[in-house]
Amino acid sequence: MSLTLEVGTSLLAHHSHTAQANRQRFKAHNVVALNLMSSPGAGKTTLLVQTLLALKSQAVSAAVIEGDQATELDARRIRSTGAPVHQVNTGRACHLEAEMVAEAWHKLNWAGPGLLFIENVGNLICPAAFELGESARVVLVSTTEGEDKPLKYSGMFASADLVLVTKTDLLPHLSLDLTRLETNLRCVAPRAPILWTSSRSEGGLAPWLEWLTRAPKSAEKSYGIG
Amino acid sequence: MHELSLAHGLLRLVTEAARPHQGATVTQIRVRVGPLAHVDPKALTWAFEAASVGSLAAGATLIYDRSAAEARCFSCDHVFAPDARGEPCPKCGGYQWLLLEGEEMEVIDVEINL
Repeated sequence: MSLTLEVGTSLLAHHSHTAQANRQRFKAHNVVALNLMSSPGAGKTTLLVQTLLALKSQAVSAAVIEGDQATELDARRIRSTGAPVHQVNTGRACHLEAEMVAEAWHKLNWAGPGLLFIENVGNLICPAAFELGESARVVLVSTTEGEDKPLKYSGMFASADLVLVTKTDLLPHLSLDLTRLETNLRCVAPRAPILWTSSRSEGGLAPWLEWLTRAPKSAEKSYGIG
Repeated sequence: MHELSLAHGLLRLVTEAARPHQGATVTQIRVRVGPLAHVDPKALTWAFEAASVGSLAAGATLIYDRSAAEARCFSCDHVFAPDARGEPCPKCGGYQWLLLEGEEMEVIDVEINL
């Protein structure tokens, strides 16, 4: 005998549920969590190191959950700033999931209040589908990646709450068409602010540091996809 | 290849749905996938085959029901069906639109054999 059972549930239901639990935990601890995503090498870790040093000088508490397929290398770089950090090695997985973040949170030895940076696995595709419990998504694109990344990986850029164009100090050596990059970003992410940054020059992170002071205070936002 | 994660989520849903029916095996699963969903159906089918080995859903057929996307233009209020992100509104050419539907991936129903 065969029988049809109605389901009507998202394939991401389990992830969304865990992400929601993370979100509530962060809120209870007065923690604003930011999910940083980009292709490998766009400058996430360098940005974080410089950001953490700046925040330290402003006496703002911050911690980092590092996601990479393998190694402790990024965690070591972050640790050098004195900030609490926990490295997640995803093994074969190409993205962080809410459950990994929940586990990392317990191992952090930091409970806020302050900013929690979650550095996702360098990948412009998969991480976009998985909400972690973040207050905002920050997507980085470096000047060396050309103008067309936003169109080629539109799902990622469309999910951004903020776009950081990194490595602007390299612009004199590149033939990047800034207007085209901005137009392409606007096509897929019409509402996300775009900030131009450099982690290697004096004052190059000022717009980003200023944005952080206004970082979403409410952790209500949901990224339920599907 | 995040489809393996999605396949585990799918297996979890299907197992939960069939659990109350003792001895049931799952023969068919219908999944609704929006055109802008973060999933490649072929990769999901392959990943599900691997993830479901030895489970009550091993060998089940996955059927995809492709739904249409729906978006509303901020500039002219036109409602249309975009095929992809970064497409302009067909009426006014504006890029500022809100996706109302089209990213979903959900299990519609499951057919079981008792």
